[in-house]
Amino acid sequence: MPAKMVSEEDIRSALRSKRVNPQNFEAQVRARIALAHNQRAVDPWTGVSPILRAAAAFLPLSVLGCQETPSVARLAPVSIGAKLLGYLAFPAISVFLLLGATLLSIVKILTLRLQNDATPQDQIVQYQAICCWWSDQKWSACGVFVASIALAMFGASWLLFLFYILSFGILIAVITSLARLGIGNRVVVGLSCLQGLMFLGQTAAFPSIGDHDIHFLDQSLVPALFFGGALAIAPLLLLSYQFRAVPNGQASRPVFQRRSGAVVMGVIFTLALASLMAWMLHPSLWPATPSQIKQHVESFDHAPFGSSTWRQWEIPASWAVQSGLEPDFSKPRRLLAEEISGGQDRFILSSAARIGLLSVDQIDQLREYGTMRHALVEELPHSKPDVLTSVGQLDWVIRAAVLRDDLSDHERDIIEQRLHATLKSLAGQEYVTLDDLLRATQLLNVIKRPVVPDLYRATIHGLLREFHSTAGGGFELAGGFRTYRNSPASMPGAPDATSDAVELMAVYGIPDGLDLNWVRSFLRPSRYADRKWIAAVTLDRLNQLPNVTHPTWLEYLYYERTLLAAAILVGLCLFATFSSPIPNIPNNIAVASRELQ
Amino acid sequence: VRGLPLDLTTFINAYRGPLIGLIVSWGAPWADATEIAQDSFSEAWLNRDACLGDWHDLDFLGRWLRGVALNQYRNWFRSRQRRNARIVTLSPSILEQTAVAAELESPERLEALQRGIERLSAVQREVVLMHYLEETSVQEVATLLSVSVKTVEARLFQARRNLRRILGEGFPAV
Repeated sequence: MPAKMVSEEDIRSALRSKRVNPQNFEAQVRARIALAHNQRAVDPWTGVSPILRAAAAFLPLSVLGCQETPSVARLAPVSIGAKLLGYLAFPAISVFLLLGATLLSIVKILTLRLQNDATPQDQIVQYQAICCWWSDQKWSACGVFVASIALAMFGASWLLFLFYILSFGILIAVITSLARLGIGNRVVVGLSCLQGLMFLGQTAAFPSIGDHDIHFLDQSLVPALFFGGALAIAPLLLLSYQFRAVPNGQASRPVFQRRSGAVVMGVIFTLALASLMAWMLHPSLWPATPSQIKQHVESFDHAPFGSSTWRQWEIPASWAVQSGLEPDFSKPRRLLAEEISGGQDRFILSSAARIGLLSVDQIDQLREYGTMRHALVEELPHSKPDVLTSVGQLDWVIRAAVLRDDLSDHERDIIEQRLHATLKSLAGQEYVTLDDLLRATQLLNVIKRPVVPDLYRATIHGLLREFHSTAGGGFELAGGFRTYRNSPASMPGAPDATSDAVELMAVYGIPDGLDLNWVRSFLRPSRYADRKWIAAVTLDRLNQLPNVTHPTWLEYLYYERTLLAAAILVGLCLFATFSSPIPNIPNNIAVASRELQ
Repeated sequence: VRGLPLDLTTFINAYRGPLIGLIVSWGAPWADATEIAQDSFSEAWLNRDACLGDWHDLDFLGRWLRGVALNQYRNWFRSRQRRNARIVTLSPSILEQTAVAAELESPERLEALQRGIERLSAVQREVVLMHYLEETSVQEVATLLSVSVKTVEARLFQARRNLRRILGEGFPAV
């Protein structure tokens, strides 16, 4: 059965009385349009929002190509809230717009003079307007620049960029709205963004940026991102410079002009910036991979700083062995042979013995082996076992003795007692190091008397918390472990001490209250070659610890907020540039190109 | 007119009826809805260069017009609220009803139908007012509402059926 419905004609009849007269309606619309046109002719700021007026009051509008006096903007009756938002746009105006506009005006004036054109009155007026603005706002603008540099230097970069995002967001709203009124163009906006990004890139490139906070990624990414944004804008500006409006009878039309000077400058700028970015991105794009670590370990044939260089090599070498990479130690063995035939540094011998480079037949060549082994297992008349005063120097003796099967069970008992006595005494010593604690623990394993972790867990955990440093500075990141107990609290951690700490955690567990994200931050990729390999292998060891918690995505986002803020800022700059109208070209480049073809 | 260069008259004729109907369905009285529609047309036409798209496309400009009209309606609504808070007098709806009653002098059947339209659900009332006020095509209504033509037709069908149900068996049906 078909559904019963009200007829369409009845509905139309019911609504017929509500219809308007089409001619009257259109006349009313046209009257409104005519009125708005008249108002805009008298006052170009008619219909502009109060926020836009307040922000525009700071802008030297002639920079954007506005021929009208900005007094209407200044005198606009706006609310306090709108004024505050206008003030918030001030930093972005200072950093982004004015830097670019100043440079643009100078370049234009010089170019026009070189071409012997008519006196570039418009450009001079623009330049004078900018100078006038600088004169009016110099203290505020200087304050913005100084605050930007200071905030970046003192580690509050994320706050700085957050503030710039807010400020720049308002500036973009202002510029976009002005573009609707026919004020502003892509070259001005693009060059302003380019200058601003270059300034922020240089600010963010201070070596200390991000040293005091937790980050998982190398903070060189931040300036690289800014420079990348500048690099994306540069070709666009170069393309815009190719087009120029020239008088053609009554109207002006765009023509394509090749400017070889601009092209050369653009190419040089692009190459320089790309090289700088590659250098900054190096740690992130080329991190320490297992094959690279193996290659680094195998290439060790020179120790310019003696035992210190051996120690830095030993950490990645032991990781390569434990990871089953089976590195070829022929070069390090040759270096060890040279050392044995020479000075026989105890620390170097210990490092080599820990990696397994020391062979049985080489032990006979070690001059101090006999006497030191004897002193090690000598029973003294008093009942208490003597502590080992420097475990690091004795390490090789115990390992060599085990390697040669040169220790009786009784001698092993004596060494075990002395190592336990050392572990107990170290906790109270002023000059204790994590290295001593780790060596004593490892040597108990070497003599087949493994330590019971519960015996020393509380002590070791207390020491780990004590050695942990959240201070950064002096080209060193925060979050590592200090080398010495009595170091001042402001002393940052050291890579080898942090490696020792992580190896201790593998035996004794992770201390309560120790934020491993700090340690991860300390071990993030770095361009410094001396810490790159240690950081990479220690980070891997840290992430392999039993019961270790890995950072969540939310933590990643939170700790990389600086990078996120920088990315948003660069995105805003690109949006502002690409959405701005092309100067002196009626439609767009594509249309112009078609016309020219 | 689709596909041809757009002029103001074509633009107004295409969307005048459905826009007034749409604004009425949002809650504005008829007289105010006409004013809002006139403001919306002038605003949309003046700022057509600012919309991100081809304003010569009638469909695109229709969607742009709807956004402008919504802003105009919100401004009108806020100013009405402020006015109501300051002045204690008859509410605009009562004035509207009084004016309509005086000027219409409609037959009883049509008045019942008008009341029936008021009792329809919001989406059904919307399409009925937009489509039947000036016999606008379903295409323009669909464009303004950003829905498909089929959706508008379905809503119109359901609205006519519901109107019959609201008005009762005594009301003539097809």
